[in-house]
Amino acid sequence: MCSCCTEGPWRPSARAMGWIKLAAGVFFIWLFMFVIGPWLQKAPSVEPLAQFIEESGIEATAFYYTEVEQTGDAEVDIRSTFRFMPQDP
Amino acid sequence: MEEKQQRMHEQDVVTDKAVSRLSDLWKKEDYWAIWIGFFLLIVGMIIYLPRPPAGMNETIEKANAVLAAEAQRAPFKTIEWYQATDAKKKLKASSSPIGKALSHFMHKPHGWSTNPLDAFYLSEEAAEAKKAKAMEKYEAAKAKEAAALALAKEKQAAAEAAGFKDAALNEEARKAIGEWRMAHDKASSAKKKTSVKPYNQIPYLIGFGICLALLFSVGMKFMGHSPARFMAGFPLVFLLAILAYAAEGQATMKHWGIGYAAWAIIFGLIISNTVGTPKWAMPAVQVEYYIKTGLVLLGAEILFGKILAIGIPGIFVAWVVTPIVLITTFIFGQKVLKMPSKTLNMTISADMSVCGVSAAIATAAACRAKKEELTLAVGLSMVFTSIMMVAMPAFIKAVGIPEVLGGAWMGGTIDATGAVAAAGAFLGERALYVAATVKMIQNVLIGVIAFGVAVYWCAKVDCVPGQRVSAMEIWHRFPKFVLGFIAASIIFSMLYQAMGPDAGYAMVDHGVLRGFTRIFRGWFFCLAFVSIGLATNFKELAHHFKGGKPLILYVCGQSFNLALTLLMAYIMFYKVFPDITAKI
Repeated sequence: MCSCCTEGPWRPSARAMGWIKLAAGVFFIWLFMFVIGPWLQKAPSVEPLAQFIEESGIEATAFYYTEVEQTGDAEVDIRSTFRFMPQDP
Repeated sequence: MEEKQQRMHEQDVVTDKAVSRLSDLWKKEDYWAIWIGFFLLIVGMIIYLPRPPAGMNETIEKANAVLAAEAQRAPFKTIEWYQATDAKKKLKASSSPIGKALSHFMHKPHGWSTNPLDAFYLSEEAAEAKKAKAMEKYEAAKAKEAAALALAKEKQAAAEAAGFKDAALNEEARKAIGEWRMAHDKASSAKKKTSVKPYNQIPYLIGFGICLALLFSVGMKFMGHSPARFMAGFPLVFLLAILAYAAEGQATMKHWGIGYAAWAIIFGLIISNTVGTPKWAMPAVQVEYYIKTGLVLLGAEILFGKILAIGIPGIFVAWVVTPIVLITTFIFGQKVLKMPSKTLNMTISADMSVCGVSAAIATAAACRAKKEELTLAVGLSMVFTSIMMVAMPAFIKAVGIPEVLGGAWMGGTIDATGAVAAAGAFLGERALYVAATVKMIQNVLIGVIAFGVAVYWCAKVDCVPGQRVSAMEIWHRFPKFVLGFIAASIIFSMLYQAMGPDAGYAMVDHGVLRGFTRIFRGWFFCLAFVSIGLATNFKELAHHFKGGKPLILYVCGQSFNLALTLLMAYIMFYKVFPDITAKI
């Protein structure tokens, strides 16, 4: 029998509860992405880095070196430094 | 009952059962991961290796001749020295027309700020508006770069007039050149933003999704599953993977370094723990299949020729400290914290000491960790990566730690490479180059760690105390996909070495890998993390976190890592090789 047909206070069915929880989950993601995250980002220690990441276009979310363009540049530069190290006169 | 429990356990762990038959070659996902992985690697080689960038050898030869001459001419890196390295950096096979076409087809959702639709569609008008805005910034950055270059030329000429023998003039020139490089980097970043073009990613994503579904369904058929049922469930898994990539591209989340792995798990978890994962989607929830295939492709990215990129100091920071921290943390977890699960202990230890998510995936698969354990390790890594990316550069600046030392410290300790690059670049170009290179050679360590963990688990952990395990038994238990992972690494390392670092950079690193297989690998891991989320119960996850031991393990291990890496970097870069450090 459907829970809405029983006597006593109304309770949503398990299926409806699932959808309500899903909506709550989506809401929390929205809250984190558009309210909490940007608010925390205004902290003086965080804001300059956030602005820098935005301007430089560095893929700060990448987790392996092949996903980060700057690792390629770094490697060429460092290798060249070791191979063609400037000599003192 | 026992059989049922055994079957349930097998579904949980990131490996298959330890029995070897010839038919395993086409019936087991370990082998299918190898076949699919190598199929993609071969396709990548066919596409890129016959198409080197125009005038590649001549450009390399000319640039190296300039570098050799400049190294003899001045005691610091001259403007010409940097221009020659810039010429080498531009050589990329992935910049060819076919490379650009492939990148367009397989592109993940684009970056966005407030409107999620921007991740998938950008009209011509909006692109023009963005371009105009970016052009303004670029013009300003270009003017600053030109001014910085003029000053650098002036200072270098003054130093040259004194025969490069006046230390004060040399220092002034070095400083001016450093400032020009900073301005050059800013102008380069600003220039990239001017190349905005309108896009509609939706048809490409649908086409790419169909390709992936077909690719995996071949293996599903041979493994005795219904390809039709797999194809029916795949759209949901792929859609969540798209959403995970889209969430990663959101501006604020990008600033916090929260990548697709976290989003994929979160989206999957939300669905499975609210409305439930639909039964029709379950045949496409294939955690191990996706992870193992992704790992075979990751193997190709483990190029052993890179470990000498920053010489002996880099090896000590990345290849000596890291295994010490890994083993010490694991022993600490077993003996002091009494971690209830060895596999969780190992996954967190590797994830914290080596390089975060990628190390967690490889180690979890090698030691048969449960999917909840991998989820916990990835979650911890993501949280601490965000914190360390913000806190470390601030601390380094506040305390006045030199750039090279700060870069080596961050490269050896922050888990994710993207966060290392962001934090390093925030300190300066020298810090970025040292940090990114140390991290890169630490990334390469994954191959050795995964192989070592797989052998150790087969020979020591997965056996009765006192039992002697034969070589055949180890072979039976050994996760076979690791062979594909190691083989891919060896083949591509040899290819890279044979070409030399300059041509290898252009053809292998920025051709086959970054231009093709890396993109597939990213999608495969994303599909795996979505599948983990879709198959995980919050209660099971909470059970593994009981007592907060995983958090304590991570914090203690990372504290030790921070102390030892700083000490080793200081000794290597400032006590043993100060001359090298001065020239970086």
